[in-house]
Amino acid sequence: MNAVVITGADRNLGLEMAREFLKRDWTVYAGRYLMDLPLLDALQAEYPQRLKIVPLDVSSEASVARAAEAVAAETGRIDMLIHNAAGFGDHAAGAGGSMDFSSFMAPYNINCLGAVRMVRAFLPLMQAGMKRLCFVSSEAGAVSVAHRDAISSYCMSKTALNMAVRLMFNKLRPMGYTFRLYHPGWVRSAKIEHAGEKPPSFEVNGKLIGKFWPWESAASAVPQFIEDRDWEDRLVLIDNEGAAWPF
Amino acid sequence: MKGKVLIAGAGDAVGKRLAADFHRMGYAVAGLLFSAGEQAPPELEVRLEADPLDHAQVKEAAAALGKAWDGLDILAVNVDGTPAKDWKDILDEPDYARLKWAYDFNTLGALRIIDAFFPLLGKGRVRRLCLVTTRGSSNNDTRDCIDFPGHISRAPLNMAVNQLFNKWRPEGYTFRVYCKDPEAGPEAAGAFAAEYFARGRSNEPESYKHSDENRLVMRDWMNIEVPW
Ligand SMILES: NC(=O)c1ccc[n+]([C@@H]2O[C@H](COP(=O)([O-])OP(=O)(O)OC[C@H]3O[C@@H](n4cnc5c(N)ncnc54)[C@H](OP(=O)(O)O)[C@@H]3O)[C@@H](O)[C@H]2O)c1
Repeated sequence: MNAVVITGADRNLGLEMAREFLKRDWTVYAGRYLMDLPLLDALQAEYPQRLKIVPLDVSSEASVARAAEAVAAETGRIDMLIHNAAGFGDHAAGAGGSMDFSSFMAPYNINCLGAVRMVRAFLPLMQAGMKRLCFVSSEAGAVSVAHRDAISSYCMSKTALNMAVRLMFNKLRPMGYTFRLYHPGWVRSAKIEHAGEKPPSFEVNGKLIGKFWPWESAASAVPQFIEDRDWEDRLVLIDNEGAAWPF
Repeated sequence: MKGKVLIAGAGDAVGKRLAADFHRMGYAVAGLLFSAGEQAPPELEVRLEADPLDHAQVKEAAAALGKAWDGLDILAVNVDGTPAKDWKDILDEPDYARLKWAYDFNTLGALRIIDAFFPLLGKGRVRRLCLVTTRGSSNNDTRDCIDFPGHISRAPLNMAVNQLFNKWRPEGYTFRVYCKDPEAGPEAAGAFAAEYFARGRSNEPESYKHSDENRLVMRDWMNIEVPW
């Protein structure tokens, strides 16, 4: 039986991907970050044998190491890693003596360094598996099509993630690992109210743009992540409709 | 006098070359040094000092320049805290503190400087923002598997500068992104940068598809375009 580790699986994309893998008979190690959100527990009631919930904060080396130990205690083989967790940070204004960069480190630490921590910690368990490393990135990190006109710590962190994936790809692809770099499209996430938080704004530059997918659409990532490609030696950012994006 | 230029990061080989070349071209040159230990290039008309990690210090330096000059034509941002490659790849244990520091210094440090000096740039005639980076900032073109601190701190700065371009190019600001030669010795470091920063680029209304001034381009020391 195949096994996947998913970060940030508490809700939205991460949760829907977990559900889709379970439907396909995979064992899912679901990284839990939001300890009091019950959605993963509800899913586990449906799949008590194959959904394993693992506390996981990707911004902490210690937490990632503990999660890897917990998984290693259950299995010697992980086939796929999906780094889906993300911090969103601020869109800061466009310079002029008043910007505040104090919140800029957090999305970089979660979105980019979190990917590095996860790969480092889980690589030993992946040696015997299908060796597939998947990263949920975003069009927001693609520099050549950058369309926002405010400096965004989130966009910057996804650009940094794409670079970290590039560096890992260049090393690990010749060792037999395969990569998926994924843009899920515009997904209406975080509709689930949690801890009093408000749903995020979907506006960019003051306008509502893009096609909006329900969060269940995240399941469409799963076939892309599972199926082999005959062009695995290229790193390409692919979206939920199968379209390729530039970097 | 051709104009007024600030070189933020005037203490390293690229900064010194920029100071010398701009001075030779007839510009008044101010320089921001990042520590007291750095040696200022002899061409500086105004010498400033601030740690890029410290936004308040950077703002103080901008205020000091505002007292000396009433405006700034070219702001050249040359922030590189990781000039030497880190040879670790993903199979080596990363130094996470170093990875965070590189982002704080190279990326956010550059943005703190841009933020602080931008109002002065708005008072200049030319209003040109110039960035020094490396080809290693390119997500398209990076063939390395090492030097995480260098690569993953420089790539996101390209994103931020693109977003600044989106905001400020319609207001008349112009932008240059220059990749230095990381292998260049002191003699060649920063070659062509001042020429690239100072010269205008084709901006005919007819060249609607590809005016070099109306898209943001990254070029290396040989004037070769580098993809993002
Ligand atoms: N929704 C879209 O339109 C869209 C578009 C492009 C890309 N994406 C990407 O798709 C992925 C999933 O996003 P989503 O829309 O499902 O948003 P989401 O619901 O916010 O999912 C991300 C999850 O990661 C969690 N997280 C934050 N910090 C973490 C940490 N340190 N360790 C572990 N988990 C952490 C978040 O918790 P908190 O909310 O409490 O921080 C959240 O539950 C992200 O990588 C996102 O960047 C989404």
